[in-house]
Amino acid sequence: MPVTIEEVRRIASLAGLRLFPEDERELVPQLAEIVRFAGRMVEAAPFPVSAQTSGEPSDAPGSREAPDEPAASLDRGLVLANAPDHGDAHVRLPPLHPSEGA
Amino acid sequence: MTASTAGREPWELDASEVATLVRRGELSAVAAAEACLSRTEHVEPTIRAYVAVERDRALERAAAVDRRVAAGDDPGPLAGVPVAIKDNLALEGRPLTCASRILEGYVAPESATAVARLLAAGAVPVGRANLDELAMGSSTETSVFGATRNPWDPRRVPGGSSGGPAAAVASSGVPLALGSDTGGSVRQPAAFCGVVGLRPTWGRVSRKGLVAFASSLDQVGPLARSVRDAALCLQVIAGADPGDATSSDRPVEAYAEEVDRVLPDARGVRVGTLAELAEEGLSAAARLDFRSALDRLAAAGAEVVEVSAPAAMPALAAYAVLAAAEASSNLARFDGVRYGRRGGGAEGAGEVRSARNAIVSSRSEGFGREVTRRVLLGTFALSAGHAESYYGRAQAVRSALRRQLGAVFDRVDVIATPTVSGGAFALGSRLDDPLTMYRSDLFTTPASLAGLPAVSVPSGVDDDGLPLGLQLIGPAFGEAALLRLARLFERLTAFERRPVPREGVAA
Repeated sequence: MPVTIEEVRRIASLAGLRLFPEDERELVPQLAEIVRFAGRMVEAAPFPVSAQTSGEPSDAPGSREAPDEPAASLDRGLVLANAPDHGDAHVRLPPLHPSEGA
Repeated sequence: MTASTAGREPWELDASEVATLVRRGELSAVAAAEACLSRTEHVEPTIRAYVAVERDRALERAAAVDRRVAAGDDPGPLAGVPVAIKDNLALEGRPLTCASRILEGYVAPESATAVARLLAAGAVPVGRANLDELAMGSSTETSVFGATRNPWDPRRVPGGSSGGPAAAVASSGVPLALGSDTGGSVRQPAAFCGVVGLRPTWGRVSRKGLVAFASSLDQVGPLARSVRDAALCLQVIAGADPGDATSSDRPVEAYAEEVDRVLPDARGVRVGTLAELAEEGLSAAARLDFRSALDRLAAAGAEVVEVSAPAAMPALAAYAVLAAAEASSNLARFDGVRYGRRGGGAEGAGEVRSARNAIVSSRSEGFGREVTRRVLLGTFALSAGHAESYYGRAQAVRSALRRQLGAVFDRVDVIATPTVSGGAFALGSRLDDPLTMYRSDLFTTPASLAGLPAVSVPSGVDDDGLPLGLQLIGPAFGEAALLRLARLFERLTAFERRPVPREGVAA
């Protein structure tokens, strides 16, 4: 399936990205080439589609994912220190306006 | 304390040597740090390995190591060893840039576990090393701080994304560096720069504090001048971490002691070469170098056999899809809300009309071209109508590769491939050709996809005098045996380590 400019614009919107015309001119053909490469090679693999395996070798003895161990959260002050805009206790964000696009 | 030892300057010593001398009180950590900082400051205008060299902090930390030695304490197995830390690994209280605008102003609240363990072992960070933006790349050219140069020829790339760490070690600015490897980002720059680069088994080293690129593929690993140093570093940083639920609780072996049990030869070692990759796309010099490497192992008694893993052929394509898919998910956290750059203009956040607008502006202004490309590719691969064709099939390739390589390791002890298909390429030569850039990872992606440990050891040079590497891949958690064989190969090869960059060679 070819990658069209409309498809790239849709994908960019999904990804929370804004592309300018010069970005589109460069990225669309590059993405199309990469997608073709990926699709061709992966389709050539005669394997049945199966479930995801994690990076951890599940059959290795002694290997397992460890249970989550709850720990204290980061200090609020440390978190807010990295925020671009914050009040005394919260991160501040511009208002949500559903009618406005990207 | 002596400023030099056996006629060598402290910056010429391996990490193991520095640590031994510092622990004995025969070399001060401050002297080691001063020497490496001076060396770094001498080569840095040419190499540009660092986002930031942190002289004062390094000397403070070195002085603390010396105080412990003077008090009769043991600072640890990396006592006084100057190290470079790739700037996608958090160092408490320091900026963490990932070489990207998106993390402008961000300061790490705590150190990555691997970094904390290095520090607890007495290591002295001299600076934060450069990388491809957000670890996405194979050349260290996409950093917002500018490209790093290869110390062997500053007109060429050092490889990536851990090009800064590799160049720092290769130029003798530090004997040891910490990088990260997703599809080859420790091994490929190690090969290009003539140093050792180790990717541990996925789960062997905690990823806590490593800024995520592709979580099922990312792994922290050392770059070093010697296999022994890489083993020592692994021994320090490996092990379970409650902060990373995917870190393995398998006991950490004494890797440094293991490699000290030097193999006298390779008798009894079965080395497999992958039929599907074989000499795919190799330059003539790289082909010769690889065959020569195999001959050396065979002459030392190894049995070299051809093995097959058909899924190794589509592995690069599968990696491109899976890594991009995971990256698109991981990078969704960069939105300018809780940290990093908030986009929307110099007038400030108040000028931005809406939250959505702020988020899109932040991301669009913050990400560079390669990151944007991968996020788009990943979002595409996961989107409705494409997920099964691309993401699903890539996962199937991955599952098959895991099974096939598992079966291969019933027949052989290690798989050998070239690390790279030729010497380092020229700066700027592949930036507009992403597919060719991705092909730099042809030999390194299979081990990444299968979660297996792999090490690159300098194997020779090409016709331009640029380093090449031999990659050895082991079974999961088989680092001890893998590194012992790597050390044997290192002795058999006697790769000439010479001071680079050569004086008078400018970028």
